Amino acid sequence: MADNEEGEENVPRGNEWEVVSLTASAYAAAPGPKEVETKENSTDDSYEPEVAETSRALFMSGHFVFPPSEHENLPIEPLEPDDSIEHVGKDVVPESGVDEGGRSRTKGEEDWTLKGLNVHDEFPGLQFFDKKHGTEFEEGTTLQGLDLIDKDQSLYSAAAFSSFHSEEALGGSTTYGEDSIVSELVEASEQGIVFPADIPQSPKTLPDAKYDGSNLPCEAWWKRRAVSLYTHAKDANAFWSIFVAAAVMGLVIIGQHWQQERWQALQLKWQLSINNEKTGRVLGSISRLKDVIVGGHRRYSFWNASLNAKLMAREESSPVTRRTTRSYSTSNNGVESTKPTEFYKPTLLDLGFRQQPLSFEDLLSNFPGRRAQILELLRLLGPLNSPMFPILVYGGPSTGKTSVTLQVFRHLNRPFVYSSCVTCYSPRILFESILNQLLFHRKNSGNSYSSSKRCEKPSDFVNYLREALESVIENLKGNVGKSSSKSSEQPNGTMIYLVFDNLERVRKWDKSSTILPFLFNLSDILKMPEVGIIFISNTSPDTFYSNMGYMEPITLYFPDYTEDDLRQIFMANQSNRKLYSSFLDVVLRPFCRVTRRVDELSAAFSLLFKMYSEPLSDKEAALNEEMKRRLFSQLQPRIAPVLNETFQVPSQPLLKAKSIQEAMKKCSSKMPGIHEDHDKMDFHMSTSAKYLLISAFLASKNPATLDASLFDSFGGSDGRKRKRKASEKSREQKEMAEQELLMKGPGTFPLERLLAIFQCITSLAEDPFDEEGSHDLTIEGGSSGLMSDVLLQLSSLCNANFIIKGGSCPLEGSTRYRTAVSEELALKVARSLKFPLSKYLYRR
Amino acid sequence: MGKEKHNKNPSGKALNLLRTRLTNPNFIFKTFSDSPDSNYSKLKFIISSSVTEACNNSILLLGPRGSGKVAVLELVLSDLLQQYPEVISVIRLNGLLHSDDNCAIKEIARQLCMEHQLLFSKVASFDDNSQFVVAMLRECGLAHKTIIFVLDEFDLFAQGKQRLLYSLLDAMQSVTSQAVVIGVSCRLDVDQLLEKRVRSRFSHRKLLFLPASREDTERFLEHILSLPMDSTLPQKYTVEFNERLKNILADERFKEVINTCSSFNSTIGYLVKFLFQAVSYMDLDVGFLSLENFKTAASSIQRQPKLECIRDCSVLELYLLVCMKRLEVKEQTSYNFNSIMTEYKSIHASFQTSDYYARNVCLRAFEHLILRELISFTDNKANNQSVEYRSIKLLISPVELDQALKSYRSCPAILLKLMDR
Repeated sequence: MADNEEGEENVPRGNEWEVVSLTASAYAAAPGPKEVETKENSTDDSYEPEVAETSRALFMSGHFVFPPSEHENLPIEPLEPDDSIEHVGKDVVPESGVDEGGRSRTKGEEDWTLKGLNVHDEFPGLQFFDKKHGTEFEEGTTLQGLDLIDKDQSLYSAAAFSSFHSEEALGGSTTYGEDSIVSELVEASEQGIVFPADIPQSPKTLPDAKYDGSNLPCEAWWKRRAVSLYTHAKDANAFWSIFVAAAVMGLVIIGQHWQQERWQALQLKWQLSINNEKTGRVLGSISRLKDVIVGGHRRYSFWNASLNAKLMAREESSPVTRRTTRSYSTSNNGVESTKPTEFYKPTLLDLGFRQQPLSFEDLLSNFPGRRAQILELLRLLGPLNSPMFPILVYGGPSTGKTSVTLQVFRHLNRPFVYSSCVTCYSPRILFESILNQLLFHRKNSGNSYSSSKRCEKPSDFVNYLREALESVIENLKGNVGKSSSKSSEQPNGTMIYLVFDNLERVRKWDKSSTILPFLFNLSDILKMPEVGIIFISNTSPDTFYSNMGYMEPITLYFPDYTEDDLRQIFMANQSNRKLYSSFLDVVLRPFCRVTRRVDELSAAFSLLFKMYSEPLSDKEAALNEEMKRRLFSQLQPRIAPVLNETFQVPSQPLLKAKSIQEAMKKCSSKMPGIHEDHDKMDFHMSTSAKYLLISAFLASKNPATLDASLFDSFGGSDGRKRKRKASEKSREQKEMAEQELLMKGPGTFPLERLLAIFQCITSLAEDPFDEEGSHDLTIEGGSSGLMSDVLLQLSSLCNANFIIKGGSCPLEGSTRYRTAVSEELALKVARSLKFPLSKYLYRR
Repeated sequence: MGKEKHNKNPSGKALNLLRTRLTNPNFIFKTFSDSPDSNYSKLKFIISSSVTEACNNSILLLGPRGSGKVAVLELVLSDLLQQYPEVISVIRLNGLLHSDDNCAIKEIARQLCMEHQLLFSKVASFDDNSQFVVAMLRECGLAHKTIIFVLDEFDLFAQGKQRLLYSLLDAMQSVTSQAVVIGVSCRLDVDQLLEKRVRSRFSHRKLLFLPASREDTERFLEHILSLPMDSTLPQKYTVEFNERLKNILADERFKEVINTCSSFNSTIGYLVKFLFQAVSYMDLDVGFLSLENFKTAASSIQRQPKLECIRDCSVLELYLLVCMKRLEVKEQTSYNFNSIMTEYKSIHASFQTSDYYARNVCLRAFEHLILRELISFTDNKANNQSVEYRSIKLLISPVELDQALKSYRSCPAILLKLMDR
């Protein structure tokens, strides 16, 4: 404990008092999560009568939880006061979210310190009071590390907080009013005179508090310490992360006791209390995080987060599996993992596939529908030790280009070097990865993860490559001469093949105009007959043409699978072949008209097959015609919805929250064709964010000139004029406008317009607010309080890609926004708020 | 197992031999080197005269890719290196690798060091290196040694300030130096790219590499494809192989195949590539080349990637393509996914097609088309717009689309009808 204090105090910071505040927070974080939970409950009870609404919500913040694990040597007793402090502190600074809240505060540092200093100047006498109080505190507790100064520190920052957030403090603590002293405090805090009011109070409460098992209501001076916790946060960046992890764990445990609505209320509060843009960005991530929590599997997500670091480390150390392709990764894992974890030294063997060579029959049967391509590739590669021209293997995605190429090498058991331009995303990484493989170099902690050679320029690369290839080929030749009865592991032949996967990516690189011709001319430049070069690309050779020109490689085309091929592919590895084939009879044809990509189809089919086989009690039962027909009739109407669900493009914001599982649930739980649960939102969003989203949508869709008539006090669409006659000219104009709308997409709008509309619709829609619950109203207070937070909400909406921040308008110079929200989603949001959106939507 | 089999079977060995020949440019261009007015003899004469007379010289070798410029040059250089072993050192640069002056001068210094067993410092600056090169030129001149600079992809050296070319050619102006600069390029106008100060120092000697005549090609085919009698291959097999090859070469159909090939691209390199594919198709069990091999090679070398790509499209993707084509015919200047969707909907409304899918599905198909590079965005900057609103263009002509639709298996009749109007 003492050590901790020392260490933290040594942190050099601008103001003295800030440093000192650390000490308070250091032990505020004492006990394990278990105690926290029980005591939470007890304090909760004690609060209930007086602090009904507010403290509840505060609890939710989880701020009081702070069960940092590294301070275990501390007595557990001090926990209790800390917790309650935090309750109170909470309502002063409600935004202090679980973890990111801390970070957000560090960003707002300047503001805090400024405020704090102000208070300091105004009330120099306070320090004295506080010291006195601090000593008392020390006597009464088992805590020894508490500094005196520490107290005034927290005091000031408390003042800072309360003055900073005077509006919120007021709104939040009205319920506190019952406690006369605290109400005083609140009033005082508005003007910054917190301390005289609360200090006399605290000594009284101290003695009976005793820190353990105390059912005491929160006291004002605790508040200070809680606040000092906050200030601490901004100092100890590195330290904070640990606190955060601990806090998160605690939060998870307690969070389970609370209902979803609580979160909703809380989120509002968090966001309400943060003013500047930077913090807003952090908040965005908090709210997303929270969505995860609400979504159900809280514990998981948090454990994952804390474990992440460990897992990452472990993954790094294990040898990277070299030869895995999408379809073979599972089968390869077993073999690859047997390699020792400590510095593995690759050898010549590693240039081969390192697996039992595949027989020709297996190779063909593994890739149904690819027989012609495999044969042609084998022919082009030629017999052992025969030189070759460069080959370009191309074809659409998921047609088996990479798999076939690599498995052909497994079949031939010849040495090759594989590098994909996806993982090697720049020339330097590509060059170094090839050289590392050729020089049998593996990155590990021993060489601090550096490459064997550093080369950025093609000229260096060619020199190194030639050297490396010569030595490898020398090696291979030596092997052949040495052991005529060589083991099967030894790669065959003296040819070495360089495989470049995903070549189409190179076109997007910075220096693509020189790198691409270089790669295509590589074999000419090397002039080594022992080197074969194979390119694999998603796009056809004509997309690589440039005015540079190059000797075209020999092309090998992988066409998309035909329907029959697809049937073979899907029939492979099916346990119930009969059932599945009858299933394919039903679904394959309609789906093939949309896409023939295996990856997309398999996602859709796995879902559909479950539905298909659902009515069957005994899956092994023989299928007769009648049964088939029945299943067919059951599945038939579901195909179309699944088709739509699974082929949604994930780039749309709406779809982010949706998963295929949900789609499945939907489809299986209700009658097909009826979409009654469209009212329900698939993701969570705060009320004000919803209003903001709607107003953004309106601002994008409606012409700015109509705002006045739509939103004036008469309201509604009555203001619209519909007298225009459909003359020839106007119709033409209308057509033009329609065309323009289609082309332009949603319109842009300045921030002012968005805010104006937002204010209009929130004031119009007061009724739904009442339904939401009284606490919402008390927090939000007037609409004037809303304004500051709307900016915050806006930035989090921007981060969630609901609203796109565009470039600034050349004339006005202000930033313009536009919505990326589809009309369906906007309507859905409006429905969840019971907001009559269509009334305000201008239709051309 | 495969190795033993191929030991017994002469066809595997023959195939290996042919493939080695075809991938070895030196062997290929040997056949063209014997006549006195060939580029080989001209080039050899020029270089050897400047070596023997100890003068400076510069030459440009121009011709399309695959016409054997570098191969012929390499032949000449290897001959000369044998002829005058001590007097010549060759520095090879490639515009793809060394177009940057700094890099190029470094590479020259490195190769000079290698050649003369000197220690090369990687950290030497541009200035150090260029001083070293100039000093080496002078020293070599004094020792009556010729340095031959081979600049492949010469046009790439002519980008930017051309400092390398200038310093090389300028150094050659002095009496003491003795160097030959050989530029190799597939741009015929490469001398126009040179700056004035460089051009004035360049002797405008050019060697053009023209496609081989028909007789030459025939001679070449026989030379390259027939097996040698003095190899380890069984005598009987070789004789039969050569006999069959003669029959094929004399065949009119074969000549036609070769003609179509050379009408595409008449360079030797293309022909060699074609022969390589044909040889690869040789059936090892039969062990002899057949006319079929050449025909399949011809069909696989003349690909039409866009057509293949359209043939791979799903029906829905075809619908979208046809919609785009119709929009283009309507002379709509620019259109995006939304306008395509309205067109698609109107088609559905008027014809009641069975292939009517939701917007989401269409958007996915639309993205597939972008992936296939049959369509692309007209502008590169995303401008914060989502995919639906960015304007788009077809990368295929209506004729191509029409052709592909006609060859598409089970193309909906309605699409063909829609194409026409």
